[in-house]
Amino acid sequence: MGSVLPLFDIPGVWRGHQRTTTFPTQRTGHRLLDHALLGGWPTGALVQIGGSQEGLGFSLIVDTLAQTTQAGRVAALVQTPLQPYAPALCSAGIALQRLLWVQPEDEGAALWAMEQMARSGLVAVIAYWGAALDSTAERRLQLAADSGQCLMFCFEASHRRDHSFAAVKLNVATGSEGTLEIDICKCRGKHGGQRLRLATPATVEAHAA
Amino acid sequence: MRWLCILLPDLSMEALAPPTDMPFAVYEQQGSRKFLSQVNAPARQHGLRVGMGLPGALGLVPALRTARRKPDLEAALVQDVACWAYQFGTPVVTNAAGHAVWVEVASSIALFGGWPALLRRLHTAQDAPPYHRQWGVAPTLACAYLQARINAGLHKGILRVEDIATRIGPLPLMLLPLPPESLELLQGAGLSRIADVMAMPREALGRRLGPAGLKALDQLYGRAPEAFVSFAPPDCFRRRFDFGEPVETAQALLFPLKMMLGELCRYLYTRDVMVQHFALHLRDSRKRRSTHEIGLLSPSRDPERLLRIVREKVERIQIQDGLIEITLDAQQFSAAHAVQDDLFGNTSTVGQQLTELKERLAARLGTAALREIAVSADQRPERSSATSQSTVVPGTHHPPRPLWLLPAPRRIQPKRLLSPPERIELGWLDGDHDPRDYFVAQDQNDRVCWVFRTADGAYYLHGYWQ
Repeated sequence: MGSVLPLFDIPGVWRGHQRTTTFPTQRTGHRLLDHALLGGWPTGALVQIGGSQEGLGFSLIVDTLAQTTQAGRVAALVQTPLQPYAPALCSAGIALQRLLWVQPEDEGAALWAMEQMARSGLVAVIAYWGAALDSTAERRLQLAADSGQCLMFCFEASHRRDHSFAAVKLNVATGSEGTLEIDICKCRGKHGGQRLRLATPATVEAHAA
Repeated sequence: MRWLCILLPDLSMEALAPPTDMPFAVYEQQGSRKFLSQVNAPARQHGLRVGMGLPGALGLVPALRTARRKPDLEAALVQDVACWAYQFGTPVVTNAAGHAVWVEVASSIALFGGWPALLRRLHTAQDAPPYHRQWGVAPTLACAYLQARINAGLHKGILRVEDIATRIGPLPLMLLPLPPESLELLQGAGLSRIADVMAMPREALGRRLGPAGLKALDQLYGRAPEAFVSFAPPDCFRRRFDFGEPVETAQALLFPLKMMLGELCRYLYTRDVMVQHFALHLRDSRKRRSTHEIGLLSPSRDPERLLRIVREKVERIQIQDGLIEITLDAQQFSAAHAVQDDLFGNTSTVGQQLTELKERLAARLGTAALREIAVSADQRPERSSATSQSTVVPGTHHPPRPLWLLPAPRRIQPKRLLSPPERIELGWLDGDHDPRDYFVAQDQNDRVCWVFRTADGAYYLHGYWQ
């Protein structure tokens, strides 16, 4: 009698709903979100954040920006809807000298700039605010992010439900009591459809108390 | 003295177009006659020769591409080679019409670690101008030129004056630095080699060649001193390129630009300076001129980097009527700072790569699109976020502040105030006194925002926390 190979040792066996984390991630700084995203943001991939009216959801990535810039890498903000406020970013731990802020005149220039930055391999995190990307632009950015191992956030005002190339797709909305509600539509390595609620930033609470 | 002669045999062709596999010829005009002055190898295979009439050549090879010779452009390229040669020794001597550059290296051999090391350096030079070169090495200018004409090469140089007679003796006398009629005279007398000429009695030679001829021969053999004018690099750099016919695409600009930027960088190395600003002047077929200033974030003399930036600029130029002329003009230089080449001759560090990335973005998007975020000393919200790098204030303490700031505050009715007020009152010095009470609040959609109340009790939205 030959011994039976344990089923899980055979590569490629589908394990149903069990989580598999075989891709590198970067911590988001929010415990609940890390857990829901199987470790954090997927590096070298596109993260789509819908429902971002007037910059809603920026607080989700501030910690990532701080980690990145403190580690000596460069991060970039592209086409922000409002002015990123230096004192707040500074107190959040972001090294401002390694934060680029690019405000191109039109969408085409913004996409070009993002692709250049991602492919250069120097910029580790790019956050972009703008209209919903068409699938060609999305694919290009996904490839650029992958080639430069760059984490790319695309904030859009609309909630989209159709297919996208993004590795992670979230929708954000304002919850009651000033919380931020996050709806995970898609996440690489697991099923989507999870809903989270992030508390108001601690600094605000302390200030309000 | 040890002169190294660099002869550029194909220069008049190389000045006008990149190397091609198609038949190509350069022609000259004398009176009304146009004749070929240089042909490339494919054209030679089709039976074209130097000196042929242009109409005849076109009849023979209808696909022949031609361009008129431009002596001033050739002179500029000879100067470029002289700039490059300057790094190997002084004095440098040029002969623009003869397409030759000499450099005296005897005094710098020790610097390069001996003669074999210098030769190795010359052979493997990455920064050499991209023109076909022939080398000659000899103790006199005339002899080095003669060696370069027979393409003797670097390793077969004549190192001692005593060796000249034996080394060049067997060569045909047509190579001698004498006027054509003297050479024909000597050949008509039944002589064929240089040794035959030198074996003749000096008086007999003097009667036939005149004192000037004798002096030229003495100089060739190192028996008489040679006069020369030493070359010095010019104070500013200016290169013009004429397109034979108007060009419509930005792509066509890249060949001359690449060539000019290569020259610029060799010039910069010669003078040991760097460039941060330069200008491109374009002229179109309606004689309208336009100037494009090109600025770098830090001085450089790296041709690749300059080309990348210029390319971004050039690709955005709207060409309406064809361009006929492009000029590169660099006037201001800064002293080269010590960026050490690393082991592999690669000077790019991460900081420098980032600077280059920013330059590339700024060249395409405009400098206004690329902003810096910094904290300034002013506590007023509108002014505490600076957009220039110079105002970073270390250790400035701020109470908690929102991530987003509205560029212009907006009238709002907050749903609920979440914090006690924070009074921000400054500006009484510069006449902009405007006391405000700031609150953390929730707007009508429950979003946490930052509002202020003015003295008259109105609320304004000024920022968002999320």
